[in-house]
Amino acid sequence: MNKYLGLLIFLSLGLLRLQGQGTTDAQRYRAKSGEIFFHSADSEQANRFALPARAGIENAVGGLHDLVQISIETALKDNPTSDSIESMLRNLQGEVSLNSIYPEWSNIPFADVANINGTQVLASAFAVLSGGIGIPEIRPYVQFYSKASGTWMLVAEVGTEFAGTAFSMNAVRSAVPGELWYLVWGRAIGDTGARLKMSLYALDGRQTRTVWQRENIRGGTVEVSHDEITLDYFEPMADGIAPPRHLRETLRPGQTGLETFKTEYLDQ
Amino acid sequence: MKWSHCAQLFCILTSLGFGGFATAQSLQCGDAGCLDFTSTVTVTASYVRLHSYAQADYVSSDYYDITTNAYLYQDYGVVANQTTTTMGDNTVDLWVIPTSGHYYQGGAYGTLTAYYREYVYSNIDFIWEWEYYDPFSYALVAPTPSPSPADPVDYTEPEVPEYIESSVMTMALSWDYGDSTAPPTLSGLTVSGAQVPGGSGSISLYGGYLTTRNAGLGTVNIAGGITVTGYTYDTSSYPWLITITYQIPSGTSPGNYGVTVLTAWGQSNPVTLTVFQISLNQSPSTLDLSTGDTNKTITTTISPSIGFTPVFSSGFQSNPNSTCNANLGFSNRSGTGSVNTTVTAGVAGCSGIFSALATYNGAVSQSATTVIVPPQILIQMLYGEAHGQASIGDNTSQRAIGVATRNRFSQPTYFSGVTTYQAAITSSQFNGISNISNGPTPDVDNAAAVFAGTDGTPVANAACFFSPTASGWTAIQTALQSQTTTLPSVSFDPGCYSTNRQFVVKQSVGTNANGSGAPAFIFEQLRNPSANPAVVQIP
Repeated sequence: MNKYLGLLIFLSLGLLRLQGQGTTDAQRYRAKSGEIFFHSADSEQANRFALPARAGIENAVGGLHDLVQISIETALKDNPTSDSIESMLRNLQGEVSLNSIYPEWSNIPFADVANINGTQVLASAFAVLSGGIGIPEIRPYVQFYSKASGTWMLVAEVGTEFAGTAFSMNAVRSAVPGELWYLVWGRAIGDTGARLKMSLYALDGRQTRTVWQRENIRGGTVEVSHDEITLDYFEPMADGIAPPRHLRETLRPGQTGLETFKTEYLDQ
Repeated sequence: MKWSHCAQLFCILTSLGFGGFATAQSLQCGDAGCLDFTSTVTVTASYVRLHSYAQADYVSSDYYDITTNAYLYQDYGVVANQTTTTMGDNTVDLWVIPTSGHYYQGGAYGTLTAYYREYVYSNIDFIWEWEYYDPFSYALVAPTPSPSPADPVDYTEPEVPEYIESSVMTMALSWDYGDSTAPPTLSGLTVSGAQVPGGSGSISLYGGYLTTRNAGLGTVNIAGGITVTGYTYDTSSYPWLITITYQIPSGTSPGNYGVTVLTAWGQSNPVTLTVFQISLNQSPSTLDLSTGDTNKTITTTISPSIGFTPVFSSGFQSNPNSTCNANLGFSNRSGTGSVNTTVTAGVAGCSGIFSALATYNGAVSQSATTVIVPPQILIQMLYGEAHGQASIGDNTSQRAIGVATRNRFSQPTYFSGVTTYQAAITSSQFNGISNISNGPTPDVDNAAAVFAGTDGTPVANAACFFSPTASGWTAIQTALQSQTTTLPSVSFDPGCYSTNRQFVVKQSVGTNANGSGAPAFIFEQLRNPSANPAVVQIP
C-alpha cells in the first residue's frame, strides 16, 4: 500500500511539475502569440490591436517556433507517446493552435510516436499563426524526430508548402517496407478556389523523403483512414462554362505514393 | 455773235500789219483756203475718239458698256462743245461722263474677254476742227466764193492738218474720276485658317476700285497688330480676287478687326476679320485605363474648328492602396476640329488617378478627363474571377468581388496589415487571376470603379467571396431562412474569419453563368457566432 502510495505521490508530483512547466510555457506562448495574432471577433479590440512591423512578426514567429520545438524535445525525454506529445502541444498552443482556429479543417497540432527499423521516431506538426483571422498568416512546421543512439534528434522539418493553409496530418499505410508514411493536406484559407494541397512524406528513422504530392485541388476535402484516402473535389470543365465536375477519388498507398483506386463523378 | 467776233478778229489782224506776221505765224492755208490765227473762230469738238490705253496691251481698243451691251464706237460723238476766242493755244474742256453703275470694258470689239473698270485708262483723243465763217476772208482765201455760213466747210485731215489740233486727254474710267471720291471697296471676305490667337491662314475677298495706273494693289492692313504676311490678287475677273495671308499674334484678344486696303484712290472700307476665342472641350469625362492599353483615347474638340495639336497635362490625384504610382503619356496627334489623343500609362502594374487637361495656344479645356489606372492585378483578378463566372452584363458581381477585396484594407487587423491590392491579390488566395496585360471592357471599368471608390456596390463588411455550388447554395438558403447560427458546410468556402465568419448573400449579384442556379458569388464577413445568424442577405 505504501509502495503504491509512494508511487502515486511520485507520479502526482511529476504530473504537477509537467503541468506547471506546461502552463508557464503556454502562458509565454500565448502572450507572444497575442502580440502577432488577433483572433477575436470584437471590433473594439481589433481597433486597439497593432500588428508589429514585419521584422517583429518574423522574430516572434521564430520565437514561438523555437518554444514549440523545445517543448517537443523536452517532452521527448520523458517516455513520449503520441498522446502525451500531442496533448503537450495542444496545451501549449491552446486557442491559437490551428485546430482551435479551424476545427473543421485541421487536426494540428499532431504527434505520432512510432518505431521504424528499430528506431523510435516522432512525426509531429504544428503551426504558428500571425496576422488576423480574416486570412491569417499560417506557418506550417512538419517535424520528424528519431531517437538514434539514445538521443532524440530532429531529422527534418518540412511542410513549407502548406503555408497559408488549414492543414492536417495523419499516418497512412506505407507501401514501402522500412518506411513510415504520413499524409499532410491543407486547404488554403481565403482562397476563392478553396484549393487543397497534399504531400506524402516517408520516414525511415534516419531521413525523410517526399513520396508524392498533389496540389491545386479545387474545393478539395480529404478523409483519411489507414489504408484509404477519399478525396472529394471539383474539376473545371474544359469549356469553362458548365459547372465544375464534382469528383470523388479513392486513393490507396502504392509504390508511387497514393494511387487512384476509384473515381466517382458525383454530379453525373 | 459769230459775225461780230469775226469782224473783231479781222480788225485786229489788220491793225497788226497783216502781211508778214500773218504769213509767218498765223496764216495757215489749205485746199479750202487759209485761216488766219487772228481770225475769230468757233472751235467745236466735232468728234471725240475714245480708246483704251495701251496698258491693257491692246493694239487698239474700244469701249464696251457691259451693262447695256452697247458698244461704244470709236467715233463717240460730240461730247462737249467749247467755244473759245483765245488766240494762239486753244484750250478746251472736253469730258465724258460714264454712266453711273455701268461697267465698261476695254478691248477690241469681238475680243472683249477682260474688263477692267479701273484698269483701263482711256485717252480721249480728240480732234477738233473749227467751222469758221469769216466774211472778210471770202476774198482773201479760196475758194471763191467763200462758203456760206450756212454751209460751213469742215476741214479735216489731211487737207488742213495745220488746223487740226489734236491732243490727248487722259481720263480714268473709274468712278473716282481721279479725285479720290470713290476709294477702293472690299467685300465678300472669307477666311481659311485659324481665326484664333496664334493662328494663321488666308483671307479671300473681293476688291473694287483698287488700282490706279501702275499703283498696284496698294497697302493691305489688318487692325489689332495682325500681321499681313503676303498677298496675291487675281485680275481674271472683276472685282479682283485678293488673297491675303495673315498671322495672328498669340496675345491678340478675340474680337473683330478691320481689313483695309490703301491705294492711290484712298483707303478702302474695312471688312471684318473676326478673331475668335478658342474653346476646347474634351471627352470622355472619365477614362479607365490599363497600363497595358494602347488604344484608349481622349477626344479634344476645338471651336472654332481649326487645325491644332492639343497639349495634355496630367495632375496626379491619388493612388489608393497601391504600391507604385503610374505615369501618363499622351500621343502628339494633330487634327482639325477634333483630335483623338492616345493615352497610355506606365509602369506596368502601377496605378493612379489623374486629371488630364488639354490645352492649346493658351486655351484650356473647359473640363478635364479623370484618368483612372487601376492596379493591373485588380483587373486580372476581376477578369479571372468574374469575367466568365458572372453573366454578361452583370457588372455588379464583378464590382462586388472587387469591393470585397478592397474591404480588407479597412480591416488591417484581420488581414495581417495588408493595405495594397498588390499584396492582397495573390495567386494563393485568388484562384482566378488571369494573365491579361491590358484592360478589356468591362473589366477595366469595373476595376477602375472599385479602385476609385465609385463602384456603388456595397457588400457590407465582407472581405472574402466564393462561388457556391448548387448544393452549397441550397444549404446557404436553408440557413438564411432558418436564421441559424450554425454555419452550413459548403464547397469552396474560403474560411475567412475562421469560425466567426458569416455568409452574405447579395441579392443584386446575378446567377452563375455556369447555369448552376447559384449566385455567382457569396461573400463572407465577420460576425459574433453566438449572436448573429450564419447567413444574412443584403440588397
